[in-house]
Amino acid sequence: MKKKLNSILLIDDDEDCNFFHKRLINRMDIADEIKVSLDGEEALNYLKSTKDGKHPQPAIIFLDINMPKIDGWEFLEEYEKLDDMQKAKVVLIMLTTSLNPDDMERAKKNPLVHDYFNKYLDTERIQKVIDKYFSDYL
Amino acid sequence: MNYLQDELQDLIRFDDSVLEFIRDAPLDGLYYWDLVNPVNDWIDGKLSQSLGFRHKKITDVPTIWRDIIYPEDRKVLESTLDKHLKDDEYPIDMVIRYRHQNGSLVWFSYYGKLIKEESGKPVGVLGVHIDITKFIERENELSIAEEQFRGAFEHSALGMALVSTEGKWLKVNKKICNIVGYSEKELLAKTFQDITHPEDLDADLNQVKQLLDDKIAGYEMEKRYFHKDGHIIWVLLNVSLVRDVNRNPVHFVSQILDITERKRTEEELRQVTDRLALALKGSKIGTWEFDVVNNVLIWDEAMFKIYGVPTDKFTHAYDAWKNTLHPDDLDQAELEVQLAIAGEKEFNTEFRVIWPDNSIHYIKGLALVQRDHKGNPIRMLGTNFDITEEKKLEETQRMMAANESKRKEMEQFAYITSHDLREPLVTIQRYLGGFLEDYGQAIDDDARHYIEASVRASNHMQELIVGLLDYSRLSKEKEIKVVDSNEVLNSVIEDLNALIDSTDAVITAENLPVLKAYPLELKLLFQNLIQNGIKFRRKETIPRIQIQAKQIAGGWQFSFADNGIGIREKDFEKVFTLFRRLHNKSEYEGSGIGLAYVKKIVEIHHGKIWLESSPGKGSTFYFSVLTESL
Repeated sequence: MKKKLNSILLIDDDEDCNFFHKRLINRMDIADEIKVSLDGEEALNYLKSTKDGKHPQPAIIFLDINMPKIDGWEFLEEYEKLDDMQKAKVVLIMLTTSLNPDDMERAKKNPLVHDYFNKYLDTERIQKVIDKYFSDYL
Repeated sequence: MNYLQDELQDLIRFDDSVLEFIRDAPLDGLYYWDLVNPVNDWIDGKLSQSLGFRHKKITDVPTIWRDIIYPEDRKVLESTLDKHLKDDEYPIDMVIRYRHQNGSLVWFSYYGKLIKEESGKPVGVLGVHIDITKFIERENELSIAEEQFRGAFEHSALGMALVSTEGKWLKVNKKICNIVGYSEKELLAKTFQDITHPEDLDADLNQVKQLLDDKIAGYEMEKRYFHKDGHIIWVLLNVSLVRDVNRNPVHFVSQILDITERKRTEEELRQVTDRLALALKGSKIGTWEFDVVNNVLIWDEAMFKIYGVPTDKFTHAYDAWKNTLHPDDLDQAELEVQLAIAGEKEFNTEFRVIWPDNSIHYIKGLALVQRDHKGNPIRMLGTNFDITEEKKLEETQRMMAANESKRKEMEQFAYITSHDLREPLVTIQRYLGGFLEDYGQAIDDDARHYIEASVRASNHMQELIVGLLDYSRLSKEKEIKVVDSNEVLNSVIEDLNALIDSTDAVITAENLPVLKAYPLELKLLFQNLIQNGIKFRRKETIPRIQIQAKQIAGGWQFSFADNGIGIREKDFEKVFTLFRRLHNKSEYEGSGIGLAYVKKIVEIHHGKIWLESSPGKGSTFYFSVLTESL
């Protein structure tokens, strides 16, 4: 039997969006924990935190670009400096409603970014990510 | 008293001839020379003075004939005395020079008389002196002047000649021989009339007559001579007349400067000026000249045309120009003139003038200021030309540029707006969807209908926004590539698979080319036209779309023919208008963007789009892609 992902981190200032995505992931029942950070700084603190001597190390980070304080791009700059043990285990995916081709190009060029989606996520897209990067899992 | 003086007094007293001699001579000095005892000469006060001695009477001076006399002249004097001794008739009459006490030579005309004893033995010479030094000096000066004149004449850079009153060359210098090509001998055998150009002869002879009649002191003219080898030489001739003491004409003095080269240059300049005038005539450039000193403004013909002023209505004063100026430009234009005259700024300006018919014309003015040797302005020379057309063009271009930037702003605005609109819309869509998923079973049909209508509306809005976004994004920079339009079509068919399957649409294509195009846009163009062809199908009819292409001048022409509902002719133009829909939503869904988008894509390919259609039978859309200019 395949196992669930340990945790998924949603980084987005849009609470409606977070609510919707949390609901979607819950319904798919693929992760033990869904953590929500409302901005980049909060997310970085979370990634650096320890519990029982271990960093949270989520399986997937869904990152929004347009955010107050630290935006998606700035978050990536700081994220790059983290220990490997602090970074997400497998994938980092960006989420945005931006249709700006410049943003798309920028995301493609960033090696930290595994894939690029427009908001909102839906069941199919999440399933594709799981199939592609977590074939051992659900 | 000197014994000789006693003796001389005796002589004068007793010998009539001595007294007579003395009386007749206009004397500047007298001496009596003792031939028996030559140490003791006697000279009178006048001579002593003439020779620069301080005292009128001197007794102890060295003998003048031995020490002061010019050595050459002493020899002559001695030989003259010898000759006189032998022959009484031989005159003692010569020029004697003495050394003056200040070292200079003093010239005397000298006459001597030999004094003899009764036995006939010569005992002394009585000499009288007439000072001719001044005369000699003047003569010397004259001969120096003559020498100088000769040198100047012969070596002058000007041609110089003495010409008889009849016109015969009397004396000519080398230069004039060079100018006319004759040797001196040849020229002296001719008259000036012989080598003067017939057209210039009368004018010259007329001047000669006036000069001979003493009406003018001299004259200067430009005239032509024939060179010995036949060609024409232009000279500047300057003539004066030499008269004798009675004012009778003796001969002419002519100076001649070869100005052939200058004349040639002038002629060339004149031709250039003529050509320039001709060119100016065609180019509508006016030229003007402003006499700063006398306040006279001269315009050429073109100027009057440029200012629309009749020739006879112009006073040629500076103010006449000023009065034509547009009041708003008057101050600046005047300032420019003043600055140019002051030498502070080049005159290169633009201003408006108002024609008598009140029309406004733009003028460009350029000018130079001519100054005298002190730097004072004398004249301004300038050009004017009408730049009204250029100004209009500039204005149009400025407006076009403004429109272009406004259009870009609008596009940017559309882009940002649509992007921002999209975000909340997506949230609405997702939440409505989530609501139906979570509570769909718990609500009744009416409630579900409300939600479903909201979903449809927001989906439509989504379509509009995406369409607007695409449309606005079209004018952004894109890359031209070589595209195989067959591949483009295949990719479109693949994307439209669901629509094609559900309608059993048949799409055929012939002769699709490989061409230069914006790949993504071309695909969207194909996609929109095919989608429309399927969307606007007739009920109960299988949609068929036939695509063709042919080469035309400068690129390719495509046609997309369908068998759909068709379009009325009066709507041919409307279909390409943004947000214009011909059908209500219940019949045919659409954003009203598709064909406007299509048209814009065709335009960025420098092409045109048009259609043929008959309602109920189908439509054919044609568009061109001008690959050569891409």
